[in-house]
Amino acid sequence: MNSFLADVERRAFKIALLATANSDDALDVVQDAMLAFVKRYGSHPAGEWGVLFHRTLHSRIIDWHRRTSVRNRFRGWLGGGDKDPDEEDPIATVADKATPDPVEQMMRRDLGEAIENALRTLPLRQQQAFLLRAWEGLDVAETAFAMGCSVGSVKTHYSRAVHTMRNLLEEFRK
Amino acid sequence: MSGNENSEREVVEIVRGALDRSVADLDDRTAEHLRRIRLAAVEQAGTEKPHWFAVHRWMTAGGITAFAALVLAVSVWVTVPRQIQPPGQAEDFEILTANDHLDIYENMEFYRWLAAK
Repeated sequence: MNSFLADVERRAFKIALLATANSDDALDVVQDAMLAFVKRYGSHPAGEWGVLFHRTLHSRIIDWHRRTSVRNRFRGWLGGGDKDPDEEDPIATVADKATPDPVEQMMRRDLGEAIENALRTLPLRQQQAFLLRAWEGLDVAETAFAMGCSVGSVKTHYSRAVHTMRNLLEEFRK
Repeated sequence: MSGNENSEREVVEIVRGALDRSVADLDDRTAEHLRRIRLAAVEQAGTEKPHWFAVHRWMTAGGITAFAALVLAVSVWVTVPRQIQPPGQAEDFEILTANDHLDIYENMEFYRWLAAK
């Protein structure tokens, strides 16, 4: 268990950081995910740990986004915000609007940082599908299990994410 | 292999390389924090009872509850008195529905005595 968690901890932190854009929140998410994973799936065969850990991590990230979304909504109400309450599901569309234009970022900063900023701008589900497939190496079915959605949905999110990242990299090369 | 697949693979490799470098260069404070989180999780794993134990415990609790319910049901069934048919109910019913004058039945003793004479 120790070596498994040691192997995934940094990548888990990075995935959480890209999703939350806050280091402390990302550490909290990883902590929750590790403790929940050990409690629920620690007795499962080690071969299943990878996908089960990412399912747990993904679930914690979604929880974080829901909490943040509710908190922001309350702040909006209390502060007289003029957001439309009937807007689309924030989980599906959330993106870091605070980050400057990713293309501009790529021109100014190094490739790694620009890629991270570009990943941050992806809607959460696209970001998760891309990271699980491209970085963690999960197949489509495993990614669907980890994200709790259909295989078709994973393919769509992944394809869109690849398309976005490809465009950004092409802009960076120009 | 199509050009799309090639370009997808290229995108994936570039992004993966960048992310791998970023986690390798993680700052010491974060790395130490992650280490502590991991050790706490591993420690919890050591004290955590196996999953089957939890299932077994629930099964035992469920079994005890079901057994208690069964005992209660049986004891209630055994102890509650059956509604016993009172003797002579059929005759009473016959009397009540007869067209004869009720005086005959009220003075039955008298008529018996009269018949015996």
